Amino acid sequence: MPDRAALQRRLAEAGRWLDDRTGLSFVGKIAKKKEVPLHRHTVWYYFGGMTLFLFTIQVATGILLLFYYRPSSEEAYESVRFLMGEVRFGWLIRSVHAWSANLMIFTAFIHLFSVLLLKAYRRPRELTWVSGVILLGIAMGFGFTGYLLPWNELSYFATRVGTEITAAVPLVGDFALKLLRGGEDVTGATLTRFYAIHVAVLPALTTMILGFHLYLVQRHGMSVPPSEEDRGGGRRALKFFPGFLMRDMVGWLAALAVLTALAAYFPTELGKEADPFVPAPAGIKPEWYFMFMFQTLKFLPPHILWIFEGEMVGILAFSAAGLLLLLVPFFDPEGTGDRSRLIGRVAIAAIVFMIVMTIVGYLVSPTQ
Amino acid sequence: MNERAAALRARSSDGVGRPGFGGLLLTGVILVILVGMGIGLTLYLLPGTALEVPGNQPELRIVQESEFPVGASRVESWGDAIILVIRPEEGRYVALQGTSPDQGCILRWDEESRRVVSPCGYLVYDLQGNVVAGLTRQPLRRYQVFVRQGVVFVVDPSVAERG
Repeated sequence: MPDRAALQRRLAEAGRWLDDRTGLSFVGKIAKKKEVPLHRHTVWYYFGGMTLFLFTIQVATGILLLFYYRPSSEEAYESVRFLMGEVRFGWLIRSVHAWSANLMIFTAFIHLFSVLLLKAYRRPRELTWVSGVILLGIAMGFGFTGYLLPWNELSYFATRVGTEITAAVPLVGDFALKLLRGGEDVTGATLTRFYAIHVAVLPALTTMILGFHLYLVQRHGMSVPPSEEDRGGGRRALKFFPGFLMRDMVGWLAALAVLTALAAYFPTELGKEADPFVPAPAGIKPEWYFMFMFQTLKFLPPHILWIFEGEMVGILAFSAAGLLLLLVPFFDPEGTGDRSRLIGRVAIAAIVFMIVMTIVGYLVSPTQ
Repeated sequence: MNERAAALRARSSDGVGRPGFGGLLLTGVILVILVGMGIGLTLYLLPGTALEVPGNQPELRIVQESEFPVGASRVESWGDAIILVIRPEEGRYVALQGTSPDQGCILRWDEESRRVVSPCGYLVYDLQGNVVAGLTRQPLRRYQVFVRQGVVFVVDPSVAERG
């Protein structure tokens, strides 16, 4: 057995050899230098890392699913059924993929609203915020496109309803609908299109924007909320490595425990194969993170002020809200003053609205 | 005893002392997790049976010859089609449309009379799918059958041509 000291020496030599050629030791230097402010809101810092962790699980399980999935309307459902019934641990991989998608969007929402309420979007972190909001939009795009891929009845009709909404957009609605569906209706062409977007287009965009987002987080460090700065808090700091990273990992382990429990006790069902020629079953609902929008659109009257279509007004309102969310740092660059307080109140109202409409969406009769 | 303690202290000061219990435990747990994940991943990736999508393959696997006795028949579905596969004698297989063309009734093989009959009405066909008796003239569709490595397969000529 080689001497322990000799082994360590060889490892150090190998590390030096690698560093001479790659210069990767700067990552370690940054990690050692990086500090995380300690104050009573530090707990919210963990949700960004947790979202990233769940995203890596998404990537890993998504790659594993690709080994068996067949992206055509004739084979998609059969391949998922085969995966769940015949492939060892296939049901678990699919369940983990589906549940981690839901958890990832949940933690992303918490991350976004915590950043919003703690005013962490302030100068000079405007672009960190903008890239983060875009990433949340991409995550929802992942959810929307991935939902159709098993080609079951529920996903088929939910996609039909979901894509139909784009037709209500003024001027370009019909064009956008056709572009999204790859034709007039949801068919095998839509499935292939969604598959391409889900496994190629969105991952490429995510890689670029996530890299940019993480670079900016590293460059500007963690923001101390103005309320803490006023109280003189945030002066204490914790080294990112190993202290904060270890705590972060505890959070990841907790997320992993919740994820595996959900996947094992509530495995994702497959349902019946999609049949475009049967009538849509009652109670078709989108994924929970689209529910507040879906339910709001359902509550809107067919016509507003006798002129405008209710659905169109709703879509325009949600689009405007999304744009305002993206531009929040430019309305409130300092994070103080009346405007900042107004943004905080609107954010809380938006959270309450989203929660209430989501609950209502699950409680009311599908015909209402 | 004192010498041993001094030697341990000296090794610790070099930074190459014995790993503590916590370190060993952590290493062990990580190893167990990695090995478990590796085994699970290997089992996941190892192909068991291959996926065959009905109606989309040029051939349909029926059954092993050893599990198909002479005189027996099997009804199989292939996409939207129902197929009646018969083994009338040793070394011979016949595959016919499994439903009556007019009523869509699932047909039966009568070994005694060596005829294919419909339980819904008076319809009798021979082993070539031709009408022997009954109020119809429409014969049954025939499928090609072959045996590969002791397994009986049916071929749909139209799908085979498409493929």
